[in-house]
Amino acid sequence: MNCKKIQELLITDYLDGELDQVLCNRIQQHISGCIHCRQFEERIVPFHGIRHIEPPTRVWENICEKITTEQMLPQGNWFEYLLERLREFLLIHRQPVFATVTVFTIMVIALMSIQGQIKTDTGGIVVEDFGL
Amino acid sequence: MGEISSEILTRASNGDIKSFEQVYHEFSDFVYNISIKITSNSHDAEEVTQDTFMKIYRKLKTFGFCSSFKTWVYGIAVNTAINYQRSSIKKESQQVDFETIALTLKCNTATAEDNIIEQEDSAQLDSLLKELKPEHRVCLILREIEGLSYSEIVGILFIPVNTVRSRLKRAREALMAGREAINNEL
Repeated sequence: MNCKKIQELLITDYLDGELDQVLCNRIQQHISGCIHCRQFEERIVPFHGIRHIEPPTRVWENICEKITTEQMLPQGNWFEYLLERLREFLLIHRQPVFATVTVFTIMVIALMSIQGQIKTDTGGIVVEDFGL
Repeated sequence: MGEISSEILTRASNGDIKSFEQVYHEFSDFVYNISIKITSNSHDAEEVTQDTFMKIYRKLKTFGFCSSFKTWVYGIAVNTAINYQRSSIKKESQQVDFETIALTLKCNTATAEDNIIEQEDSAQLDSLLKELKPEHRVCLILREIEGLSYSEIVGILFIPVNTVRSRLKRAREALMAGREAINNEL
């Protein structure tokens, strides 16, 4: 094995303990007689002080919330699900919904009657100003 | 970090939240830490951790117990983190060059001696890791930080063992060069 191959193994398999003992011995033998490879090996320093941080508790809380929301969703048809939710909503909020619909209907009728009144006053003809 | 029992996994896949919480506590440390190392940002790491566990929850029914559950979880975590990092528009602004790292380390030298070495090593590693390509970074993290073997990394990343080897080589060469540049600056 030449120096290039030895250095490749030093920085990968040798360092990571992926080599068998026979190959390890050959590499060690080479290093003991080769200043370049010995210097290369000395440059390889494993990192220390690697912090393992625990995830914040809110991460699980968020996951839990998402799962709970998903569990409430149906497995099948979304359209049926929306209809079901709408029906539930109408049942629970019957009075406010009825009041809103009534007010909205009255407003539409009022607007339509005002518009009809204007048309009657002008004889149903739209008067345009030609700037004369 | 051991394997979780098939009974717990079955219950979790059927929607039992207490069982899924056990899965979470078993793997959250790995998922969160690898996410931090890949995204270089704790906020993004939280997002990735949440996404990863939601994917695990949704896919639990498809896990066939043919492979190791740990490898399966690691694979989902790593891919989610890499995809998140790739799609992140903030990526460019998070890049730090070696001169900046050296300056940061110079500023840290005013605190207690024992802490300095630990903080510097950790800060140095974090900063140097940011400089690596995501795929090189992942290989290095799985090997050096998580202590996985080459065959385990192959199982997680679905790449040939020679690719694992070459990525580790490139990552370590880059780290060596980066570290030497920092030491020269200091």
